[in-house]
Amino acid sequence: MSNITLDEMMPLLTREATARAGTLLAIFCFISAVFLITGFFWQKKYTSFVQLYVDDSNVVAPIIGTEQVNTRDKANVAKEELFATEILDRILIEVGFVDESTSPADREEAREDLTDATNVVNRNNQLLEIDYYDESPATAFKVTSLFADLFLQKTMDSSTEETTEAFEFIINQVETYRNKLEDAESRLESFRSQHPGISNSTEGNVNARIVELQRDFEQTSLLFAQSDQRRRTLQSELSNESSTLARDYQLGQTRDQIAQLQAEIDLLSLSYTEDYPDIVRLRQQIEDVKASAARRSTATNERGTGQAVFNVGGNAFSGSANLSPVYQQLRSDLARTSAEADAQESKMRQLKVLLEKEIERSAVTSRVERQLAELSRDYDTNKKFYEDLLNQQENARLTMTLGAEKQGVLYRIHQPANFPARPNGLRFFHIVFAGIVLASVLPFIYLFVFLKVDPRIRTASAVTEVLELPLLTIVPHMASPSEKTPWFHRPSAIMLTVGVICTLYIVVFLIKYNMEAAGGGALL
Amino acid sequence: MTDRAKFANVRSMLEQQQEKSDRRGKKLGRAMVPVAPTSRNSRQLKAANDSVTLAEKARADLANMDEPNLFNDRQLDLLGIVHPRTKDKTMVDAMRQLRTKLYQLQPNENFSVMVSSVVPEGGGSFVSLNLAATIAFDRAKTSMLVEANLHSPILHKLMKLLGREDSPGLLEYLEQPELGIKQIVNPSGVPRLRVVPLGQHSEISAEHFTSARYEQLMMDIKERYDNRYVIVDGPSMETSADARILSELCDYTVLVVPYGGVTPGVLDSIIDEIDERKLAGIVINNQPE
Repeated sequence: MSNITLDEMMPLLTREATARAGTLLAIFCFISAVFLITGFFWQKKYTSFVQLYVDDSNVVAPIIGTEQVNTRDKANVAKEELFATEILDRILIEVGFVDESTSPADREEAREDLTDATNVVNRNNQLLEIDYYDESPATAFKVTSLFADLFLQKTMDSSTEETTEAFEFIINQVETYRNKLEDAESRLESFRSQHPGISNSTEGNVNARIVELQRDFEQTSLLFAQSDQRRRTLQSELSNESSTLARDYQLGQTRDQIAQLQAEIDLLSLSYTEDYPDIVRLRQQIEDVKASAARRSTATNERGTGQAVFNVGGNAFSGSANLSPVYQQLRSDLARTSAEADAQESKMRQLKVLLEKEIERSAVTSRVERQLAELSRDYDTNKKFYEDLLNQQENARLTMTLGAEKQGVLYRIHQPANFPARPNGLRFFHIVFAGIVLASVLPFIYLFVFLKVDPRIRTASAVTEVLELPLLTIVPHMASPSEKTPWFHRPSAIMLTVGVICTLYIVVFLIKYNMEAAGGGALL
Repeated sequence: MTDRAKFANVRSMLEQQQEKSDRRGKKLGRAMVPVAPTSRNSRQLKAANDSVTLAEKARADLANMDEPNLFNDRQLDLLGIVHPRTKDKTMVDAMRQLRTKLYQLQPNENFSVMVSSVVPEGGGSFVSLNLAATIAFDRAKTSMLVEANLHSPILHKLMKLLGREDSPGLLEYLEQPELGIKQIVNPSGVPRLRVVPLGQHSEISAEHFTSARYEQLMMDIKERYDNRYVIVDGPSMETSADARILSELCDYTVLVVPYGGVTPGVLDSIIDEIDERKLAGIVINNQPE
């Protein structure tokens, strides 16, 4: 890659173009000749097209009752149907591309040519355009029209078939669901007759009753536990309390006497021995007091056995008049508490029996209600589907009617096939124009690329900037007076050659114009 | 036009010119071009020489140089030698630019410079001949072209045109000690330009350039006149080692690069092989108009 600066490029191009005038002229002539020949033999193309309106509302969708999402490209779908062999063969025969004598291989080639020249385009998802091009405008028009007619016929047949199938399907479905609904209804009625009083709310009531009984049972249990505990406490206190006041007094007096005598003994013991007579006497008195107390106690007990004895909380009490007031109070509380505890215990037992009964009843109710719910659900589902299907049946009947009146088809002709008056695509004057432009520009592009790619030294910058060497001078070519310039380097020769080529363009243009005028086609 | 045709053309022109000159000489009683110095001018110069120093004497000797058979403009054009009246002013300007830049390298002294093409047929001989001719434009300076291009000598054509094709050349001088410098220095048909042709010796040996005799020759021809510039036409650098040897004995080296003929890589590799201190610069030759 050479290092040519922009300042140097234009003078360099000029110099090189002068030096290589022959090469550039040859390129110009060659390109011109190629384009002239191509343009002369170029066949014009006439394109005819037809536009079909695509109805997005699928015919089957209202029958089935569901929105079908069509994700496929309509152009591709249409192309598949359009390029069906029966359609292609019919067009080929109608237009005259093939006949009975055509071999299968040629027929296949004709089909390929036909499909290659046909283009199906989806415009705005609502319009489907079928294009076909041919060298003859009449053929293009005829093929496009046939394509449109045959395609519509095919889709119409296909649509009717689909509609009929869908309608029959929906009728069958209605019948099936009606039978199912009737069956579910009879089973529900039979069940209700077997289980009168069962409703969807029964299980709820039973459960509420169980909860209420459990709550009462727990509350009664707590009260019974409290009463029982109080009864035990009262019994304990009653057993420790003296039954009479007198007995307590005599016992206290005996104790006082013994304590007084013992104090005297202790006093005398400080001064005398144990066998001192006073000490012995005092001990004797203590024994006597104890004996006397014991006798009194025995006598009291013996008297007690003959009186009315009542039992409270497991303790026996005599009915003598000298009973203690505390003792009496305790005994009264114990009796009341015992009565309460017994009553609560009895209530607990009754509640427990009721609870067990309710739980047993709940299990039975739950099973029955489940069966009922199942039957009801089955009935409701069948009823819903049946009602929906009845609606769809009405829609299907309507769609069938529209289809019969050709109102609900998928494709309609939006713009019929046109007869192409003017050719399209590349034409003779395009090619000629491109030939002139390219023939003029390409030689210089070649030269430019050559100078950019060729690294050989041609400019001062290559020496001073790339190699950083001093440049003394640039010596121009010194033409000898006797040196003969080649003919293709002479400006007159170059101008003459360019003139000849331009004349050739005009001549070919005129020939082509006359040919087209004679053929009756569009001019150039 | 081939070289042979070009040579015949110039030869016939020279003969016609000689005939014309003889006829006019007979008619007018004095010689025409090629002009030899008149006896009156010669006397004047000789008188001036008496009062000058040795250097001035040498300069005077230059003025007294024998200039037989000078080429006219047409002949120089045909031979491809520039002259002050060359119609292609671009060419003349380019050669003057080259000469001026070389003067700037050594402003106060004369010098010797070897001109060599990077590749064969690169125009080294053409540039060296025209550089010598351009230096000789100046009436106060003279130039000497020493042909040392063993592979493609060009001066034999010139010598033949001047009728000196049998003169001994550089190779004879190097091989024959009895030959003096004066015998190998020849007029060129261009004023103030002397040439030392390669010679006609059949045995070509590059070893001659490494001899002391060659070294002495270069010293003598450069130092004999302080206004004489020695141009050595060397062989191409790419194919011959002689160019490197020859450049050793010159003050400067000029490399001639043919337009569109050498890549920077090739030039760079060649420059690596010579003494860069002696490299005066690059000349791009034969650029299309």
